[in-house]
Amino acid sequence: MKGSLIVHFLQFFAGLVIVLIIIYSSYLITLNIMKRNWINSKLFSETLASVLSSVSSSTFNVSLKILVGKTCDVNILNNKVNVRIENEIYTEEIVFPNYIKMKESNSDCSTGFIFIKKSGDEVWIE
Amino acid sequence: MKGQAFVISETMIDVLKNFLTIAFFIGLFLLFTTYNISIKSSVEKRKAFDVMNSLLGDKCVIYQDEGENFYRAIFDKNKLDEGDICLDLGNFGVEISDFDNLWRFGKTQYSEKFSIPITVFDGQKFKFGKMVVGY
Repeated sequence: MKGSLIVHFLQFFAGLVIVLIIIYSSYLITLNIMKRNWINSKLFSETLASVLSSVSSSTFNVSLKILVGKTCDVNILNNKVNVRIENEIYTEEIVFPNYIKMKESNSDCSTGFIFIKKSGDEVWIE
Repeated sequence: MKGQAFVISETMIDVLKNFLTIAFFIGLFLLFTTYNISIKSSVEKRKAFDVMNSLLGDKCVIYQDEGENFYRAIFDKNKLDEGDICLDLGNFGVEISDFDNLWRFGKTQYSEKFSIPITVFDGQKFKFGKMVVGY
């Protein structure tokens, strides 16, 4: 009887924990599905900002070709990357040395690629 | 008694089953929450790495040889002493020092810190050091 009581006690708490976890996980999954465009534009702009930062701090001339798919709307404006996916726009600052000129440029990814180029002290996207 | 097999009681098996079920769901829960945290709060960490990366190639402070070549991640002590970093650090703090702690540039007093090994050229020889970026 003593062992059986412990098992029932554990089953109750296990059930409680599992129900709470299922409820919270469902909330997180729903939130991520609802905000998928915002999340994707955020990840896109952060990744692009980091790549641009990396390229601009290089002492070499660079030409990078990145596969991104055909649906994108990206531009560099006022030293910031703006990525638009459907209705969601995310803006991210680019960290780069002040002798680098981040040229205003944009890419609609019509070829499925984004080109990041650095020549001398200028960096831009195509 | 010698050689007798140890038989696990049914109660023990039930307890183990419960623990395994809870562990599985907690693992699943952690997976979801970690993903969610990485989506929501990685901005400062990512920027700290960008600052670190940009500094490693900042022509204003890295070593330049007589052939006008720049060397990434090798800092020039003389240039750093003049304090001409060509980067807007914003909310970030940078500390560059040699491992002997004989020389130090900048200061970081932040809760979150990232370190990377670097080399410092002191005008005569190259020394191992570290760069810390904090926010």
